[in-house]
Amino acid sequence: MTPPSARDPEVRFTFDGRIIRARTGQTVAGALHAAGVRTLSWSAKFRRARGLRCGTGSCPGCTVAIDGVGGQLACMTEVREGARVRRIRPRWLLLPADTLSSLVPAGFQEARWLRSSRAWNIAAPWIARLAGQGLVPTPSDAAAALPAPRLATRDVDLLVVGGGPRGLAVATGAAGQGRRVLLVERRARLGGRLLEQAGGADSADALAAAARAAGVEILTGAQALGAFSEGVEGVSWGSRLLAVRATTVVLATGTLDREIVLPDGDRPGVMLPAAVARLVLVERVRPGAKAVIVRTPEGEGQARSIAALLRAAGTEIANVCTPDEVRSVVGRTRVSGVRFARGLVACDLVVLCAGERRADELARQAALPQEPHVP
Amino acid sequence: MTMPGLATEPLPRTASVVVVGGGIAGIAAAYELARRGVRDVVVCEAGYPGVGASGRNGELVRSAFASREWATLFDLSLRAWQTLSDELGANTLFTRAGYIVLATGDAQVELCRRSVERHRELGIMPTTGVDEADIRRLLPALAPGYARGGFYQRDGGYAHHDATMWAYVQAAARLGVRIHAGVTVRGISVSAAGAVTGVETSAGDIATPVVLDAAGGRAREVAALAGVPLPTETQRLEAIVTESVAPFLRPGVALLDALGYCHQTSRGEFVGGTEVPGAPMPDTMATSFRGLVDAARKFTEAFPVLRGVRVIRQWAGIVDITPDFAPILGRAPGVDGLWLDCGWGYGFMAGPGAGKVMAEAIATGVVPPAMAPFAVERFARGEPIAEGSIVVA
Repeated sequence: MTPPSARDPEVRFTFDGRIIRARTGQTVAGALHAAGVRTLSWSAKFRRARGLRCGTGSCPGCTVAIDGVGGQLACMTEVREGARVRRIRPRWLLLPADTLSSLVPAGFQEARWLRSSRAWNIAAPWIARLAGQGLVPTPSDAAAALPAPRLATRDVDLLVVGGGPRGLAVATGAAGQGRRVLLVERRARLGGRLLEQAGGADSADALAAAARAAGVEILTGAQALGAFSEGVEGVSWGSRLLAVRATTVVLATGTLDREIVLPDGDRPGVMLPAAVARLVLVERVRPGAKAVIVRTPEGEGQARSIAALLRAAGTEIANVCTPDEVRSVVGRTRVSGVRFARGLVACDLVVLCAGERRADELARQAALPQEPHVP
Repeated sequence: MTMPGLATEPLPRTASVVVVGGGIAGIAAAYELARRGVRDVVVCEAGYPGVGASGRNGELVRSAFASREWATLFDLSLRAWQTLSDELGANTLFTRAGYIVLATGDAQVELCRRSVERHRELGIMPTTGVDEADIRRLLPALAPGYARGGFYQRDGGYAHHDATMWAYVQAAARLGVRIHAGVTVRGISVSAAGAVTGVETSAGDIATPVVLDAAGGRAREVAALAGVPLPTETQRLEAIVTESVAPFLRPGVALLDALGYCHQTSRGEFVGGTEVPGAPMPDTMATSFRGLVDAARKFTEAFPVLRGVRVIRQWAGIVDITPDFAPILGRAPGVDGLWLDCGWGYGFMAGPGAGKVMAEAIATGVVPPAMAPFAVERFARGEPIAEGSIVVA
């Protein structure tokens, strides 16, 4: 594996008060992984430890507070000099984290159980205090971190959502024909899945350069919100909210990794392929010392490439198995092994490979007809 | 679809009452009819229970309105809400967190002051006037100086719309009400003498002497099937929901100036809706950019802490609003056996009470006093109900 390059400038930020050194271009999740931090958040009800999991901003596992503003996804946010990152601690004062999940069965609904109006009215404020998960920023933190939102309208011929290889190619082609093209990408860096392939970064940079040269306007860190009834696409970009009027919209949102549900499979250190590949190739962090890869038939290709990436990064592959072979994942605040019928296999990383699904949320929101995804 | 409480057997051929619409208005009326011993009540819902405005509303509950008509009807409901979970045997998540109406300008402050006097005369669940100090105590997260007065109803609050719908559906089903989801009413048969004889639906015909139009945003279309014109207009209302955050807001809130209403759920989400005066409100459940921006701007102004909180959902629902914004409750003129329970803009909070009076009227043939003023004939007579304390305009 390539060590963090000495050419990348160093950035320092604090995590729960402790100083963390990182490299420019790393995400907060990547820098924290390198620093040995695994637990980034706790689940709302049972306070189970959660951490970096999907690597694509699709799960809440890595939600942290940055500069006093909660709800920030560490896997999607690049490190910034002097940032104050902290975990949002759950508010159950009496019990240590994760005690509840051993006492109360999964799926327990306190609200359903409290059928008496009187009992609910007594319990509700307490439940609210315990369950209220996210952080309410102080007015001064909110004012400092979030300048007053600005609204803008953009008129373009083509809006491309997604800065992966396909989005970049479509945008470049259209701009080359003289169209006004706006491309929005959620992440700070363009390239999408290319960045999850060995050697893909160079291709990604070349595609991005070609798009810029063709005159594509590119917004990174910009999240498409959906189609609205006025015929505009909403885009959230930093403290700006854009209403984009586009003659044509291309959704090039690519794919997301499918999940696998395992007993105790939510522990920090259980990750999807995108997160693992990005740790190795983008963050330049070894994801773990010893990995178990769990794969379904749809995930065999993913499992092979992840295994190759991990070996190259110096991670030992302890086992490759199917989901039904797994009895449970072991370790409360970080994975320490996987239990099988024949015994425990020690590891500090579990990779779930179940293939990809289309990232079709925006298409569904816009009520576009759906076709079955053929991988 | 199958969900607990929904009928799985074929649609019956006959019924004593067919309720059109499986929102809170229809299901609560059906439940109350069954409680009164009326058998063979059938509910036809085109989608699933709560798919319309009953599952797409601000979830707030109060009876503190300024007119006798509104306050009386909504107080019946508010009293029912207090113990509805016990009665239905499932938690509606009604939380008696209080309801505060905030006034900014002098005229609004004065309106609220007079409202409290009015509430006292009417004998509804108590309200108290609030000054700036009270507001700071009740709403510490409100921007300083945002509101100058208003009033507070301690017994108001909010409920969860899905929990409430399913509590009603299952309680009604236990009493023998047959709730058919995915059944669209396509026609209402009326005899030469002008009496309802049945309904035609997408799943077959049902012979019935009584039809209750509780079709929410589609009520005008349903009444038109029997040749009854309704003076309503279909409108879209929108709301936003944020990610779950620590509790910062206890009571339900109405912002008179912003035409907004909001609360924070016990799970921590902030839920709120606003109106843009004069904005077109098309007959669609698609959300608008303008609605998102308006809600975000007004609520971050009122509660500056929300500036750092993400919106995770936005929804739109449709309502069928009357010229005076008050509901239509009563017999349909000219068609014997057709009852109207529609025109709601505040239908969720009024659901439990409206269900009681509507069931009483249908079961006994005598319209209770709380319901009488809401007859549709008021528009033809040119006597709309004047109510000054509404934020959904």
